[in-house]
Amino acid sequence: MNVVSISERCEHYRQHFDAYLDNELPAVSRHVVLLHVCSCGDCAGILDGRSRMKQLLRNAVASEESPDELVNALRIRFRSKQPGFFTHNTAGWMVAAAAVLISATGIIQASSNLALASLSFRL
Amino acid sequence: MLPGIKNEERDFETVALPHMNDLYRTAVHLVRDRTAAQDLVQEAYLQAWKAFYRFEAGTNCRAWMFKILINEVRHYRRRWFNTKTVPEREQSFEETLKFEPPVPQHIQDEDVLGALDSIPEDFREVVLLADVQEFSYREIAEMTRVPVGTVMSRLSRGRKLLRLKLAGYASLCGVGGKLKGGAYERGEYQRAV
Repeated sequence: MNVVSISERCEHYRQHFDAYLDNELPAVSRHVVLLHVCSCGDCAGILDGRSRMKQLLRNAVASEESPDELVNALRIRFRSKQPGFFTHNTAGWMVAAAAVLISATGIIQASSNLALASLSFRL
Repeated sequence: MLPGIKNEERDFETVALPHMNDLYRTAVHLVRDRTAAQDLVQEAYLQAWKAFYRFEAGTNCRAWMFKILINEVRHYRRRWFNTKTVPEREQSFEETLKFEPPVPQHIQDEDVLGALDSIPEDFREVVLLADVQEFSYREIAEMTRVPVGTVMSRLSRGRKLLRLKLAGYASLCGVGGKLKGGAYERGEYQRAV
């Protein structure tokens, strides 16, 4: 009975271990978790293991370095593409294209009206 | 003045280029291909360069760059793979176990990376962003466009799977044992888990 209740209590705290290690718990909750860990060897071991796993992962991933040619390739590409409203703004291009399209439609419409008017005048 | 020409190339290089290593490392483990990772990082930088006029000076450039990279990775996966996301509610048998195996004392980087690469990509993504890049849950939620609760759930499940995989490796070579060359690289890892 007592063993079950201790296990359930530990399980409750262990659910918060990830948030504790990620600094996502409020200060009061952090303190409560810490108090429990100080009094429970099993939970202290589990928290230590999770913390170590984060460190192992960080070290393992950090062993990979980006290749030098990546920086050089990027610098070349930046220089070939200067920033600007139209070069960097698809919406700007679309507005400009729409304006050209509307103007062209208007001109075509006007010229066809003119042609019809001259035809009716001749008739 | 038109937007886009007030921020100069030098400003961009100063604020964005220092994050290249972190972006590259993350991309390598997200797509598990160094060449593709280089292309994705280049594409992310070019997208950031194009949109740099929208970046507010003084805000978190690193988080902004990672958001762009995650977006590029998603495009890449959609283009090249018919990816299946892991259903949030469905748990594997090993995840349902209450037992938490100890993290092995001596383990090589290759084995840690092998275990990381073997977990589902949705989990791997949040584990990398939280444990390696140390972003907050809120920042990860914004980058991955999922609720904070989903981030927490994926993180918990991802870490649990990772612990189980590492324990599987440890049982292969004896807890605390250290073998020459990673078990993962020798192909023994998958058989052990």
